[in-house]
Amino acid sequence: MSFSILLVDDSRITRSIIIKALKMAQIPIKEIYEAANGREGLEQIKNHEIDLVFADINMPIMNGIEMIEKIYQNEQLAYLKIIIISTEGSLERIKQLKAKGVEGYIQKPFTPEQIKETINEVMKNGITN
Amino acid sequence: MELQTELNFKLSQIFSEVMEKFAFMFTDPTTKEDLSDKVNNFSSDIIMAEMNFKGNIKGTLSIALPIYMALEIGINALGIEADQDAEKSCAQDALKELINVLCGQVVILLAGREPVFDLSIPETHIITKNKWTELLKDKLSIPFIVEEYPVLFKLEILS
Repeated sequence: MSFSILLVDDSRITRSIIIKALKMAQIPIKEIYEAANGREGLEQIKNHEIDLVFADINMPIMNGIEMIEKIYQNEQLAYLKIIIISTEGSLERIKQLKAKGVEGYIQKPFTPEQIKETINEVMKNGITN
Repeated sequence: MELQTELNFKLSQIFSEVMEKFAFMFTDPTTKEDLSDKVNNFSSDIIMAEMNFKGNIKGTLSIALPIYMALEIGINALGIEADQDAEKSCAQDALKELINVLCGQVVILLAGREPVFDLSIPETHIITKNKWTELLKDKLSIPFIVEEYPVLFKLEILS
């Protein structure tokens, strides 16, 4: 199975590092879409079939938390798997995000192995659910 | 060990680890005297990034380095050729992301993994040689050499 992945991060550098990590981790990729903030992320979700979203929290215009809330308010998007990649490492923040429906959390800086492990966990949960 | 010395030691560890993982660059410890000489050898502008954090501790993190170094980080990450138009924004983007990653690690060092912090959007600006010298003299700044580039890193705890 290959995935259509959406990367939502205001840093072009980070989006590029995630793409490199996905390739190094040999994740089967169908398509990669990019967005620089939550609002652009929602547009991409509306326009494309996405399987997995990697999102940052701290972004201008619309942050990652607002975007996640809007995604899960829409029942048609309940299938969407979201992994947060953030500089923040607070356990309380991770708990809050998981309560909102986020399934994976990776703190920056990260390794390709961490990306691979988290995708395996998140997409496996998706299959068994 | 004196508190500030111990904190500087831990901040230096964080800085080195993040540079390795994020930028694939290696850090050497140095002294402020050495750094003072090094910076005069660079014709490059100095760029500075600042970022605030607010939680049960409030403070500011800043980093200053030659713009060529920020550009090198950005170019390496993006895998692109240097392009004059893209240069400034690429360097700014790279430095903003670097300080963002550093800030995430620093707040864990200061407060552990439990509390939630509000992190500001990082800001960058070009600084003068005088401002660099001021930062160099600042007791809180920590000097590094990263792949020949002089770097100053500073944590200021406000409350």
